[in-house]
Amino acid sequence: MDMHPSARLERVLPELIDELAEAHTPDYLEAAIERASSRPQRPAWTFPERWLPMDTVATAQVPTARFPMRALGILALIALLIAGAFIVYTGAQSTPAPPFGLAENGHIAIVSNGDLRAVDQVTGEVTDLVTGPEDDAHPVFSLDGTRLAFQRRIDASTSHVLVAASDGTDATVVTPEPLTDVRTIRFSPTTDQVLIEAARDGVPSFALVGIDGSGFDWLAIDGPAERAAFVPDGGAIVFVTKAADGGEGLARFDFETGQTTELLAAVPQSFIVGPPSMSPDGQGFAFGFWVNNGNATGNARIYTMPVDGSATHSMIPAPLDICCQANPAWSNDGTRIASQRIYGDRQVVATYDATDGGTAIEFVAPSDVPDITVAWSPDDRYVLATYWSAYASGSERTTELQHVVIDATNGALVESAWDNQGPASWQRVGR
Amino acid sequence: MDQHGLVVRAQRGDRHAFAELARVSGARLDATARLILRDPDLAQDAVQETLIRAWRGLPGLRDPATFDHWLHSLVAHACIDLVRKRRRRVVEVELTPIHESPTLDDAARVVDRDLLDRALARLEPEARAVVVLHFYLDLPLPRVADMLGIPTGTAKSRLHRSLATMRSLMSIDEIASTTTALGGRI
Repeated sequence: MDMHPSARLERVLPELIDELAEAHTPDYLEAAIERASSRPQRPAWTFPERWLPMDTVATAQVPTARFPMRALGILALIALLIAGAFIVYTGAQSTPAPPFGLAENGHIAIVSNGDLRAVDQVTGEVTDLVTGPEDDAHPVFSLDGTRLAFQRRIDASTSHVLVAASDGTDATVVTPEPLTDVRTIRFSPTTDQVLIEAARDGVPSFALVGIDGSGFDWLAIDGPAERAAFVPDGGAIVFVTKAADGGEGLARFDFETGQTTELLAAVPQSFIVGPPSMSPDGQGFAFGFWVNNGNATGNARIYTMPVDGSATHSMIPAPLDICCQANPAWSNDGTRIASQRIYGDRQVVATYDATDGGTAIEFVAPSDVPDITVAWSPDDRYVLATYWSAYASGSERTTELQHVVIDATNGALVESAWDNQGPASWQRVGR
Repeated sequence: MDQHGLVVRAQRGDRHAFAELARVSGARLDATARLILRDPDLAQDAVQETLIRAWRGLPGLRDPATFDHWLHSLVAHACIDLVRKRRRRVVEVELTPIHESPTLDDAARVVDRDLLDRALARLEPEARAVVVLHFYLDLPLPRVADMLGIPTGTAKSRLHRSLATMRSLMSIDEIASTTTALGGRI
């Protein structure tokens, strides 16, 4: 079997690089040693870590305080050093983002040949998140940007779900056994749990589990349950229901009571297009609804309704000459909606006022792509549009995807497609 | 005296113990710095800085058994710091082997080293550091990442891109045909 070029290069590199280096004691070494050791060493007590519980290996003499004043001085200096180190550390780390509302843009997690990678949308740099022989997919950043969940395929229909740090390290399997037909993964607003949509005995269902794998349990929801969105306070989810005749509706499940409340009754031969999108203030959510006109045709529009079901749904006004508007995404500042919009002769990604549908900005997308889903960048500056090659509801989505980044202020194309074979996730970073 | 004992003594201020440690590591430190920086003068500066940091920071080394790892980390950081401080592309200097002129039998090997030399020269210092630490010091990537203070994913990505760059500049077939089969390096 012919060795992959990469493998051959890696096999010969160590010996070649060793020859190239031709390690030898440099002429300057003695002088360098002398110059280095002529300086004073830092006293051991200036290293805070030496004051942590000592292990038996360390044998260096630790100065003990003879006088209370000296001890106080040492402790004060250590406190200063620790505080300084903490400031440097926090300055170098990303600040967790609030789970809702505006945030800074972090990386975009994508799927590339079974590996997960992070794209810096500004520089275009692509770095590895999770790589290896496993088939990983469906990366999802937590709302505060500190965690990454993803799906690890076991075979054609089953997967485990893992949760890692946002850089892909320290991945933990959170599913007690492989789940069938994992469709969506959502972090709770507090980032301590993930909601997994998968098939349980063939029925789309939700399981909730801690990010450390603790407390895995299926939610007690009767009937098929799909495509959920957390209410910002984390106390409930809004999700899509499916009636026996195939019609789809909406419901709310409260975690504390375990009760399911119908928000929108399933209408025969009508369906919800895409998952509901929560407003950042948690008062309402948007959803796409395709209504059958009764003659094998229909129209899809975007509707909003309160999460508590206190009022019926209301349609966001849309141009009269469109066929359909679906797959909404509510902006982080709560003022606009982005969605797919289909005219008779073209298809666009549109953003518009969340209340009256006005001030629309459109980006023309390929008209032959049946389905487009959208997501706002955390700072609302951009819209990440994903072109799917299969319809959003009903059929299995294929891996033919393309992603584009659109400037939400003017509808201009910012970034062309990366090599990606799955849904992408834009990391939220604190300001 | 074994290394552990030398480290402990050096931590207590024993300059002779430190000198012995430095002499044992010196060749490797110098080679690592030359590979990363590709400038013998800069490499000398990096090694000097490494030794200074090592001498001054030794009392803070909690586990003497980690001395080698710690020292390699210091030289990697010293190299990167130098590059950033100087803010200029390092001079491309061919690392000519110091042995005698190659015989006819060694000609192919020299070509391979020349190709590698040129390929390494094309990498950015931060990426070259990953390649050198991984392939020359034989450190696993998570440790390389830890040394350089970058996520493991970033180290993997830099290595991946570096190898791709090097492959495009080197003739893999030419190398494979002139090197003996290696075993156990994967």
